[in-house]
Amino acid sequence: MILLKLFWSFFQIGLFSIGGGYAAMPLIQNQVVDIHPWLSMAQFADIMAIAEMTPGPIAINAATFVGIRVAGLVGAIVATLGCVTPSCAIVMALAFAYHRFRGMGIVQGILAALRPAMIAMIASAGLSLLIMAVYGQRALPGDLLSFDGVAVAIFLAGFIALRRWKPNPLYVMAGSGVLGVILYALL
Amino acid sequence: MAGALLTVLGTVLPPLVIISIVSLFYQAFRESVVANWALSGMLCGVAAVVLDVVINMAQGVIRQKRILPLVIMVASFVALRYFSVNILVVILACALIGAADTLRQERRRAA
Repeated sequence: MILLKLFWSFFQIGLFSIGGGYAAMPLIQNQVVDIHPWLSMAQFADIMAIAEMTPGPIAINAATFVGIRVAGLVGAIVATLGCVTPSCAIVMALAFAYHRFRGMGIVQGILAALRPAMIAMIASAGLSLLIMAVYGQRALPGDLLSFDGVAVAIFLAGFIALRRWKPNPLYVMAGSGVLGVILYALL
Repeated sequence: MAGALLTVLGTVLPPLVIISIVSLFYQAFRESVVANWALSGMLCGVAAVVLDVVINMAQGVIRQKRILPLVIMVASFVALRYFSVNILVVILACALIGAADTLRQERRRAA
């Protein structure tokens, strides 16, 4: 039963993460934090940081991590399968139907409308991560000034570096990890 | 077909192995003070990376100079963030809007 739930959750994540990459993030949060009690928001934030540092798609990384915690290695495999099944099926169907497909205009229209919605979803998930990083909790606290100064400084440093020099995000992740160790040790 | 399946396996296997190992050490990792500092820093880093990506993507939408995508973007954000609308509802609603918009444009072109 738990395996079925895992499969279905990650099936939905795989099915709806249109646009790839970060599009999976808000869906994963929705499935494994909001709908199912599989991860706390803090653990979700951890796995997003880990997924950013390790190779492979975010959704596969999350599927493995959640699957193992919930139902061991079998859980990891089932969740990963759930995650890749929709895109395999869709891409194969498209490959077979490509030449006869006439409703392409509609499909493109749907994708064009989904793109801005996906951006909004990623923005919302990104804000949740930022609030988690800066306040150490999921929702904004009543006292907005109770933020973690070190966290704000690391975020701003990373953000400004990204906007100005467009470095590989991996360097930003590694740099903010090192900054974290140095600044928290000193302060 | 075999090629497709092998490719999928090749994409899936490395992260599966790596994250399995990471999750073995996760608990110990979380209890180590230094690792916690690094992870807290990396959380700020990932927030910066995600918001940077969002800004780049949003600029693409703004540059299209079309009203509908802008409205969809703002309305989806407000619906998700401030009205806790289910994420799948937002996706389906936007898919319907996209289909309707395409049909409307095609009809106008035909007329």
